Amino acid sequence: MENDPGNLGDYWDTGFARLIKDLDRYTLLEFEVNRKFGGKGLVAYTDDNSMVILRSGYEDIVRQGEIWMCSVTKNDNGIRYARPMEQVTLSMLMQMNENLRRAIEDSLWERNKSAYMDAFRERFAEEEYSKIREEVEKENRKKIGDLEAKISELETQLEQKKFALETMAADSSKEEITLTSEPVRSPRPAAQPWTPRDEPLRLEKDGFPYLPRAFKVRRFGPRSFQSEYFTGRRCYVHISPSRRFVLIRFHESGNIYCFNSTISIGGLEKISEYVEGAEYNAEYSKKYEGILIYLPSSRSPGCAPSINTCPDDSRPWEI
Amino acid sequence: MTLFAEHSYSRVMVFVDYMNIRECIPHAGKDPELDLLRLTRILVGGRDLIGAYVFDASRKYRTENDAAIREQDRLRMDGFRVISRESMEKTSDGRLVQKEVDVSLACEMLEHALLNHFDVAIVVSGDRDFVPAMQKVQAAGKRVEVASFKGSVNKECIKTADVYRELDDIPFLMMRPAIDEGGDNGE
Repeated sequence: MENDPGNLGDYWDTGFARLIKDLDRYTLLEFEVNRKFGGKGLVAYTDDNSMVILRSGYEDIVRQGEIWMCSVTKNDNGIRYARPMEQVTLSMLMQMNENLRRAIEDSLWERNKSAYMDAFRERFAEEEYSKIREEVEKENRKKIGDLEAKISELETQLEQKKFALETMAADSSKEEITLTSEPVRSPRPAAQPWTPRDEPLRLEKDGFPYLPRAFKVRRFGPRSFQSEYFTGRRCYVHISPSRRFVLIRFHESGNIYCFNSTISIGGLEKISEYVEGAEYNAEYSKKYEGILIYLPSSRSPGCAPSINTCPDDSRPWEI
Repeated sequence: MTLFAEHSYSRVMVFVDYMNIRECIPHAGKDPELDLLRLTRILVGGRDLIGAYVFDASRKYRTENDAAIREQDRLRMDGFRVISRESMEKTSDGRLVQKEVDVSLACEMLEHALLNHFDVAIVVSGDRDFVPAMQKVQAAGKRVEVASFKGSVNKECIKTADVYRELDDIPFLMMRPAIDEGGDNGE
């Protein structure tokens, strides 16, 4: 080493290694101007804040701000003196081999761990927190974007379905009750007399009995209607003020009972004149959720035209 | 044919002039019975019913045993809000007339309209007295439907209403079971 005052040149290759091995005897000191004595001389401070004075003879070697590995001794008065052994620079650290560097790093870390620990921990935590937060925010933004797109798509579908339902409702709504003239299915050929069905009625998948679009209901007595399609046990019966329509709604809490496909209604004979064997047009009304029976007008108290007298077999009755 | 179509998301309130409806229903004995619940459900359809009001009048000092009071209680049990004015008076010729009911209905309807409690008001009455109130409700941006009988509705009501429904052919009068006197045997 060119600035070696005390024959430290031989330390460079092996001496420094020995220093590293014997690191506990040496101290790393950073020298600064001695403020207490008017800026004369260089001093350093150890970990416990004790002042160490640069031994005389090394003033030309050691500069302010430099870090040296020093041997520290104390005289009888308790004053400490540092004898610089080796300057520690970054280039020197980089030039050392890996093992030596690690040894110095470990030593420096062990000596200063308590001082560096909190600062490093705080800095590490801050950097890690920032990194993690950024990643989480990025992921959340992506998820929120996906969800918003999904919501927008569902809202569009909902609007389309609403529009379709409103269109259907507008098409099917009617001001007056009218029975269709064309039955979707005819339960039996027009010319046959009324007979009970032998086979069981088919059931819709929701458990309600199958009802054709239009069919006939028989007047069983002055106060009774009878039909093979009266399959419930109890029902409500409503009539229109005009006495033209009777609505039968099967319901578990209905006030009128149905036995053997027959419903007996109080006061029916006063509302609709009884004609033996009369049959009335009926259909299932989706609007009123029940079987709608068409009663003949009070102006023509005769029975509704029966199937046998209908002029057109494909259209058993007309309103 | 109507200009307006029903919307399933409309908020509906129903206002029933009870005496007006009762007077128009022909009776054959005690049958059939007016089923206001059924009528309300038919008129409202699939829309959201916010509230249904029944406006009626009664005589003062009536007790719970009075038939009219029992009827009103039954309506309340069905969910109707019954506003009964103790304003039934007897005229010199012995007729009973009700006072305050029409104005009460009009005020209630207008108040709810201005407070934006409904989108559609259904007035079950054919009385022409409600026309100004209906117009004010329409001016508040609401729709007014009138439901009444063909023979008793005033033409001005029909012209003012956005939708008019005839009650004559709507089956809402409830029939009772036949009393068992041997039943009908088809003979």
